[in-house]
Amino acid sequence: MAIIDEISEFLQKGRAKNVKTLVQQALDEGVDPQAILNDGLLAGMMVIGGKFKRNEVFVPEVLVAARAMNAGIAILEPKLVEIGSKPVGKAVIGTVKGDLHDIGKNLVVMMMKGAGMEICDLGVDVEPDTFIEKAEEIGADIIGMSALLTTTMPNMKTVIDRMKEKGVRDKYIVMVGGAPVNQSFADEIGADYYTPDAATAAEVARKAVLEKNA
Amino acid sequence: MEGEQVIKLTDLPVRTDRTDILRMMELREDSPVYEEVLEEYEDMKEELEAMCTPAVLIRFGTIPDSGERAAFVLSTVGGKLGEYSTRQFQSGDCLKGMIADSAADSMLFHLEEPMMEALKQECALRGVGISRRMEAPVDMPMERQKLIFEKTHAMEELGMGLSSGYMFRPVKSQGILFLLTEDPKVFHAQHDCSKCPRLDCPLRQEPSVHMKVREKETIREIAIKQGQSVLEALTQADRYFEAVCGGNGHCGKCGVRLLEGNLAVTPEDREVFSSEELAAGWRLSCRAYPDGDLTIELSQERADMYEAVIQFEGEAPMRPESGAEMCEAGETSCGGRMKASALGYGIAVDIGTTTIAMQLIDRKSGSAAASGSRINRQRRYGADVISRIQASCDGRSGELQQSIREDLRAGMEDLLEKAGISWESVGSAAIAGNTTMIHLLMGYDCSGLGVYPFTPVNTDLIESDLHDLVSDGLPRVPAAVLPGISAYVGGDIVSGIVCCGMDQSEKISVLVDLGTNGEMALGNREHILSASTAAGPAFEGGNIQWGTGSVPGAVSRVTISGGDVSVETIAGAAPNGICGTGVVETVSELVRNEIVDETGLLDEEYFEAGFPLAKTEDGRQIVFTQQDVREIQLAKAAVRAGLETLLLRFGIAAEDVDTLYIAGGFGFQLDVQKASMIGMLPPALAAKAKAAGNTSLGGAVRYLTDPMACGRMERLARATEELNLSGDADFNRIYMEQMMFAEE
Repeated sequence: MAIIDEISEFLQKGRAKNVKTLVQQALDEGVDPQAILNDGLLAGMMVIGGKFKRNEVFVPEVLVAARAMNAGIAILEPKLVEIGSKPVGKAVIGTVKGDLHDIGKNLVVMMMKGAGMEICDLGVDVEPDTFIEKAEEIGADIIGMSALLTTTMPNMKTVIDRMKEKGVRDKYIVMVGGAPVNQSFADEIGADYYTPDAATAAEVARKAVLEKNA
Repeated sequence: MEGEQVIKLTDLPVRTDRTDILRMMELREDSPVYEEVLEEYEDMKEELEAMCTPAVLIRFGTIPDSGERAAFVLSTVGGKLGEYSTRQFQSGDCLKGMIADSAADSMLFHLEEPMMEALKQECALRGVGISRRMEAPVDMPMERQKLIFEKTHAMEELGMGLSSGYMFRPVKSQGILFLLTEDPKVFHAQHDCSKCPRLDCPLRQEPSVHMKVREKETIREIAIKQGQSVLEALTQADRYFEAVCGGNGHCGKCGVRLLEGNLAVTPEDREVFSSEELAAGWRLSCRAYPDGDLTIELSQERADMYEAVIQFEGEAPMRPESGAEMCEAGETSCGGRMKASALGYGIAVDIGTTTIAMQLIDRKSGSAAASGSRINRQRRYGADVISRIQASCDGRSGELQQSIREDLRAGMEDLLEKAGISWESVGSAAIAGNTTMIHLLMGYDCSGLGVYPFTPVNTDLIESDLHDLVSDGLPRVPAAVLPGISAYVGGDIVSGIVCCGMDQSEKISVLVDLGTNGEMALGNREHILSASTAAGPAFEGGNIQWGTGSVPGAVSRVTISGGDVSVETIAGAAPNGICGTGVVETVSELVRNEIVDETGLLDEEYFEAGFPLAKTEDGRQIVFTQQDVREIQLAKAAVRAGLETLLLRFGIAAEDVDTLYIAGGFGFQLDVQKASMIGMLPPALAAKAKAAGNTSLGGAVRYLTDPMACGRMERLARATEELNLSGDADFNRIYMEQMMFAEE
């Protein structure tokens, strides 16, 4: 469908206005809102995410595209609610206790939304139990944690340990990231996934949720 | 400085820098969204700057645990920008969110300018300078931010908070700790990107640098990468270079001379070099981080000047032919190695921490067909075993193993070439070395060697071949790694005991190897006691300001009489340092002339600058400092106490000992009277001293030529008793007593 491809194209170029207009136009023409979302907005965002991972584009291009996507979603949202559209999966995400950095986490949230996930952003300096309580509350698939310093990194383990204590560890996919985090640390603390950048995080999250719910 | 008030600056200029923001966001001019992002930024700029509530808090005081004087500084752009950024992200405008975040960083960055101005003024008022800038977590732990937070009253003054991870709230804030110095002219307060490990920081300011390296007549060019020191660049460019302390800025051995360009003088430089030397361009390459192109000259001391001692004393060897006969008759412990058919040549190796010595032995005649020595290039990872263990535990075990394997291969090939024989004629090899050297060769985990209870992975005899032990390129010549006793009494001592024949004689003798760990053994064929004592590297010239190895130009003989000082150097070359024997002689002469008193205090006249011994070719003064005297006091007391404790445990007097074998090159040079004069050796033992040379190599030769040697070594490794001196009350008592210089 031409108009959906056009939405994707404009989104990749970060043209928020064009995206908005086209989404409205598509709705008016009776195009399925779910198709506009999946094949237009999210598909465009995934193209950008892939390019970002391959260093073909940089953060600004992604930001501009994400903004265009959000503009499109704002128009689409009421229709999506109407038809009872479900997100790919749900994630609670936050920066761990003691850590106040949020820019990296914000980028992950942005990319995960672009992968069709519903995100509950817990913000920074998040208490271990808050991750778990919120995840239980919204029925999340993923718990995502960010830490920017080696001094706060151990709090990721605290969350996982608390999950085990509460007997809910296996209910969730645990993802970790942040400058000092690496695969061996993730293995050590028993996280399910470590991803080095926001685009990969979104890709992995989507895949993991689809596998989990398959 | 206590009672200092908090200095609070709030009326500060706010500045965002477009270039910073573009760099932080990685916005490139060829980006399709370049115009759009820029436009957005220009639209937001004014609003963002209005949201900034800049403040700087400065307070002078002391660091509680160290008592060092410092200025505690906290700067912030306030919390509104961060909140705004978060809100934008939440509402889906990621671009605005990111611009706000980058702008906040840029504003914080530019607060540096007024902060630095104020700091300069406040330092001037107090007549102090700044020796070092420290930021967490790069230069100090995050916990230090709590101290800054408290010292600057950040909560009371600005309503700021601190997270449990010691981060400031609001997050766009920065804490810096400046160490103060008495010298008001020093102001090392700038942020130094080159020392920061965040190589991907978009604000990193660091041009790539070209360095010309002049060495004698040759000049070569080396590129220095981001965050690399001159030493690291030299090492990477495969230029072997001395770094006794492993590049940590305290041994002073990696000096280079700056000919063109600029290298900031570091506090470590000031400790090592005099002001004249600094002016002449001397810098420690391990601490030198160039910010522009430069030309340096490598210091005179050269790796290839180290010569290992090859010769050794010992009992008369058994004739190898008779060994072969015994072997055929099954009367030996050699497992068939000595069969007449397997005679040929053998390669004996001693892996020393500093040098590697080798001999090619014609096993028919038992004589040496060729000898050679080379530097152990693992020295680039540190001069002593401790720094090697450290490097190995830091994940460089593979590099260290590769280094020694390469040295051994090259050394062996040299030997064959010298003797004009081929590998086909080589029938066996034996390698001796201290336990750490063997661990590094074998690629064993060294973590047990560095910490109590000092557990080696393996000290047994290892029978393998050169193909597996040294290089894939070598044939499968049977090779043995000689057994050791413990983590600190290694195969070199076992080999040495066999070389001196201590384990076969009725008479009681002592073997001492004065390395970093003074290893010693005492006994006879009935029983042998061994021990190691942390003598430190002073007898090898380590930890001595002008200390050096036994290289040409090293001061080795010293006479002081009246006001006159005369020195002799190795090979009569122009003086360039003091080797181990020179160190002993210097102290002995200083004590004899009462320039050092019995407590070890250097005469007031020399207390500050050190006692002048000689001048180098380029006019630098070679001195012996108070700190050097202290190092020797510790080292000689450790050796003496070790020997006395062994005698005590064995239950004999020094007079009852037949021979004191002093192993290593040190033994040949050492004036035992002077060593006894400073209290390093018991006088009764000094009288029986004999320079035994490289007994470790000697033992390896014995292994190749004497069919009984192998069995003796294995028995020694099993049966030699080791004393643990560190927990020994007598040792500790004698150690304290011997710290002084006794009046004789």
